[in-house]
Parts: sequence; C-alpha cells; structure tokens
Amino acid sequence: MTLARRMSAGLLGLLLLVALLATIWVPGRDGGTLARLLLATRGTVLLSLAVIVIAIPLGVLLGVLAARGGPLLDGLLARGIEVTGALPAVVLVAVVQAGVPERSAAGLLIALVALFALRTARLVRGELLQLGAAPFVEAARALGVPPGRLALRHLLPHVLDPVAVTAAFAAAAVVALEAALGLLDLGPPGLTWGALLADRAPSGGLWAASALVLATTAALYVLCDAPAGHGWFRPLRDRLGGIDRADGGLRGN
Amino acid sequence: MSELFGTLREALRRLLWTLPVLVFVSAVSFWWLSRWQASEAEGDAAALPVFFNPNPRDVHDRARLALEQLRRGRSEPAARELVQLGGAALPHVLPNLDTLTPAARSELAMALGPVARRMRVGTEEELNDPERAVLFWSQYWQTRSIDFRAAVVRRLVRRLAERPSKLRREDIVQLDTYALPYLVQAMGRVKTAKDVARVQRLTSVAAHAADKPWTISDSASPAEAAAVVEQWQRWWIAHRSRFVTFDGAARLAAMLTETRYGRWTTEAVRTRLGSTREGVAVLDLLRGRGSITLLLLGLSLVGGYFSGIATGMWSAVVRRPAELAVTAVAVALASLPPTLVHVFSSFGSNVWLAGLVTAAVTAALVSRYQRAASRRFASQGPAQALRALGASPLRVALRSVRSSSVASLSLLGAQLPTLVTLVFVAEAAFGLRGLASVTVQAVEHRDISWLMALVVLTTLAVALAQIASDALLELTDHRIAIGPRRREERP
Repeated sequence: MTLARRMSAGLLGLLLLVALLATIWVPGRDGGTLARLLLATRGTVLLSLAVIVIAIPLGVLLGVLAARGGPLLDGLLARGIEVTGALPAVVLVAVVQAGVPERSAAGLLIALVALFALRTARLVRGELLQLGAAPFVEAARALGVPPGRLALRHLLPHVLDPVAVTAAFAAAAVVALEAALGLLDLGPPGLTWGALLADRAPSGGLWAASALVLATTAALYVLCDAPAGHGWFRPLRDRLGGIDRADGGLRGN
Repeated sequence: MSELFGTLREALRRLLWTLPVLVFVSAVSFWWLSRWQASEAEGDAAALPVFFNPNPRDVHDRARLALEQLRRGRSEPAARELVQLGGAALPHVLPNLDTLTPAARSELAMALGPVARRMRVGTEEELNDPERAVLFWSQYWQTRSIDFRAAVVRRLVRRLAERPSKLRREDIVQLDTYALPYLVQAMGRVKTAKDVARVQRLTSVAAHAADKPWTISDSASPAEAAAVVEQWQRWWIAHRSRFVTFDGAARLAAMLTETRYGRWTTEAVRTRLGSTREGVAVLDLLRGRGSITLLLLGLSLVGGYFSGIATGMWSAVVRRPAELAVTAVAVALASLPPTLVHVFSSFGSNVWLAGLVTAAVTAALVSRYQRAASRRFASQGPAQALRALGASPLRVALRSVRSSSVASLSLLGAQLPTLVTLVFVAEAAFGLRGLASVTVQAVEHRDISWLMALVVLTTLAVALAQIASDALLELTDHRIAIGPRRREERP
C-alpha cells in the first residue's frame, strides 16, 4: 500500500472514529465552531454510511435478481435504471423531498439509496451476465451445481471487487452530493458539512468543512483507484472455494 | 449516405422509445408527489384516484345522486349540489319530476329556484311558491327541452363568437351551465384584437353561468385576454365532470382523464405545462428563469468539452510532474464542485464566472476520459508507426483526436444529469436566479406542477442528449454501431 493510500485510509478511519465519538460526546454543545464541526462530521459520515450500507447490498441483490431472475425482473430493473439514470440527482432529491410530509434525512436517504442501489445493480447485472459465459461457470454447471449455489459461491465473489470500488465511489459521490444539496437548501435537517457550507458566514467551520469535503472525497478516490480495489475480496473468494476467473478455472474447485 | 440514413433511423427508433419512458418517469414521480397531497388538492380532486378511475362521475351521476337525496328527505345538500350543477343538470332531473313524491317534487322545484334566476326564466311568484314552481318547471321542460341539445347550443355559441348580439347572449344565458363545454371550447387561442372581442363575449356568458369573476375588460390586450382564457381552461379541466356526461368512448377516456394524473397531464398539455401555486404558467417561468440555466449548461458543454478534450490530450503526452499536477487539479475539480463553487462565489453574482467554473469542472470530468483514450491510442499500431517516423507525442495525439475523442463524446448523454446538478449548485452558490431557486421554492411549497415539469423536461433532455451523442459517436467512428440492425450489418 502506497503512502497516499495509507494516508487516505487513516483519514477515513479517523473520520469514522470522530463520527462515532460525536454520537456520544461533543465538547461545548453551545454552538461553538468545534462542536458544530464535530456534529456536522457525524451527520455527513452517518448519512454516507447509511447510504452505502443500505444501497450496496440492495444493489447487489437487485443485480443478482435481474441477471438470474428472468426477463420481467430484468425489464423492471432496466426501467428503474433508466429513471434514476435520466434524472439529475438534484431533481430526484427535490422530488423525493417534496413527496415526504416533512423535510427529513429519511427523504434524502431514500433518494440516495435509490440512486446508488440501481447503479450498483446495473454493474452487478452486467458483471454476472458477462461471467455467465465464462468457462469456469460452464464447468460448474456441467458438474451439476445448483443455480443458488452457483450464484453464491462461484459468481458473487467475482463481482465483490468492482462492487467495493463502486461503494467507495458512491461514498465520495454522497459526500460531494450532500455538500451540493446543502448549498441548495435541499439537504437533511441538522448539521452536516453541506449545512456548514450553506452557512455563508466566514468562519473556521466553513473552511474546515470545505477542507473535509475535499480531503474525504480525494481519499475515497485514491482508495477506489483500480489497483487498490482489485483483489480486496480474493481471500473471501478463496475461502468460499470459488474458481478464480483469472486462471480460467484451471485451479479447480 | 446509407450509414447516415441508418443512424437517423436508429435515432428515430430510440426517440419513439423515449415516450413510454417519459410516461413511466412522470407516472412514478406523480405517484410519489401526490401521495401526501390529496388533502391539498383543488375541488373534488382529493377524492379522485391517482391513475385509474373505474367509475368516473359525470353530471348525470351527480344529478341522480341529488334526486336520491331528495327522495330520502336530505334536501339541503341536494339543493346545494343542484345549484352548482345548474342548467347542465336539468336534462337529468326534470324528466324525472313525475317519479318523485309530491314533497320531493316541491323540494326539487324550490331547489332549482336560484338556477332559474340565474337563467333569467320564471317570475318570483312562480319560483317562490312550491306548487307553482313544480308547475313552472314541468311546463318549462315541455317547451324548452328541445334547446338542451348539443347541436343547438353549439350553433348558438358559434353565432355569439362570430358577432355580438344581446339576443344570442340571452339565449345562451338561459341554458346556463349546459352551455359551458361549448363556451370554453369556443374560447380557443387569443392572438389578435378580434380574438379579444370574441373571448370577451364568451367569457362574459361563462362567468355568469359559473359564477366566476373571470371576464375581459374592453381595454384588455391579447395577452391579458389569453391569461383569462387560460384561467378558464384550467378551471374547466378540474370541474368539467360536473357539467358533461361521459357516454361511450368518452366514459372510457374519462377513466383515465378523471384521475389526478390524468388532470395533471391534460392541464400540462393544454395550459402551458400547468401553473405554479402562485398561478404563474410553468412554461412562462421556465422561459423567464431557464435562460440562465441554459447559458450555464451551454458553457459547461461547449467550453467544458473542448477544453476537457484538449487538457486530456495534453496530459496524456506531457512529462510526469505536469501530468500529476493536471491529474490533481482534475480530481479536485471533479470531486469538489460544491466547495469550489462556494469558494468562487465570494467573487460576486456573476453569470460568466459561474459559467467559467462549471466549464472548468466539466473539463476536469472530460479530461480524465480523454487522457485514458489518448494513452490507449498512443500504444496502438498506427500511433507507434507515426512515432517511428519521427512524429512528436503531441502530434500523434493531435492526429488521433477524432478516434480518441469518441470516448469523451459518448459521455455527453450520460454526463448531462451531473452537469444539471452542477449548474443548479453554481446558481445557488453564485446567487443567480435560474431554475434552481424556483425548484427549491417548489419543494418548500410542494408545487407538483413545477416539479413534474422539471422531471419530464430533464428526462427528455437527457434522453435526447443520449440519442444525439450516440448518433454523433456512430458518425465519428465508423467502427461503432449502436442498435440491433446496425449490429447485424456490421460484423
């Protein structure tokens, strides 16, 4: 791991720690700059985590269902992707926020989960369809591996690496998007980095929030750089006993 | 030539497919937006289903219900309903006068008193005495029922539209709300002073029948008259089921149009994409505020793509330190639009500066793809041959711009949603009065018309951009074929 990646991982770990600590204790809750910054960090990190934790597994599930579940599910997913792909994120969030009774983080969460789950589903579907014709999958089918086991043990481990990269990209996108929505006054209620950016009064918090948005997105981009992301899930794949696609299934099962 | 024809045919096929996608997107968005807003809906819209109405209620159903209420002795709500329905209800209640009990008959005759006064028929003595009122309405229907026919009313309205005449006006006033469908239909478009005079006569009669203040003064301009007509059309879409009958095909159509989604669609098509909560036509607002957004979007696309392709090519051939610097700037610009925009916004509310920033961010997005494409091309045979002949890396990159920029061009459609978000953020950060501020207000006020128009138009724009970029891609690089037919043709 290069120094840049170590620093990126360290920064993200620190942010997670700060966010967790800020849920328990914040120094000077009377609105001081440090307290606001900590609360904003907690807000943004928790929102990003929530989006990733919900959207990515949901996207993987939808992608598997679309690839293996028949034309109806595939068609439905394709329409969903068309909808979320054609709508700018800001318009999607505006529509979702207008459709909930009160402005809430839940509205934003729904919009972002829909956006990123369908993007992940599209990726997983494509990867699985590509893998479907691979020799090792043909071999597993010929050996009589049932479809569920084939998907779980032979196909899914191979899509986890690109999914991990997508998750990191999505986290960076959520941070940037949250900041953008904060400027537009469409962000979640409560303090986030976007809310600090929207607060135009020049203060330490404003510049710190700008720096944090910059550092976090840059760190996530560095981490999801292809060489870093590639191979993250190889140990898991080995443990599940799947066949490595790189060696064309020669290693055996 | 045949390739161009094939590309256009493929573009047309995809254009047709855009329609169902638009319907799907608008239906899903409308369903979501209207879930919590049923109670805020205008008129009887709150009781309407969202997408499908198996039993649309027309004037016949409403009049029959009022009669039923009269039979059960609930005269007050029945009278209220009958007064609202007006002359349009007469063909459905007066033929049934004899089927009612004497008490209900008297109640009905008395309930229709205000309608008769509005129609300027009958005397006060006839209308105030229950027995005489029953007699009056029986005789009225015997002598005047022939006037309550579509052909008669259409002719009367057409004549009034053609030429002013007090007598014709009175003839239509005597038909009351029964003439409303024909009056609203005859209003049409207003462009000239002659049109103003025409709709002035028509709105005057309609305002009397519907008890609305929407009339046109003698000094009104065509624009003012058109605004009044649009107000009538909007009201008519929401209330027409009170004055017309749904028979045959009309009933089938009403199953879709007499829904909340159907009414929004009708209003959007007929009245310049509907109106906002403040009563401004959405299309007018789009025209007024959209210019700034379009300018920023245009600057992003044109400036961003040209400079992005140039930067990407340059960064693909320069030495490592410069390349790293370009990459760092590109990542920073691409990952941080809000922060950058926020920092730049301290320079003031300047649309050109905002355009410069959005173009720079777009260039950063495009340059990454262009750099990768230029590098890929540089490692291929033709580029290697050029290098062997002594061409500099920059010259090789320039010679390959047509092939290497294909990847960047293909992003045009896919990147448009991102650019729209970017432009909205730039507007907010620079304090520009474009579409972003209207959208934020629309979210606050839950303005369905504006949000739906935004959803439909952005989806359409993205779909068109995708089709255009794919067509451009095919024409730029002859190795690329998009669509099933082209795949068959090109091995």
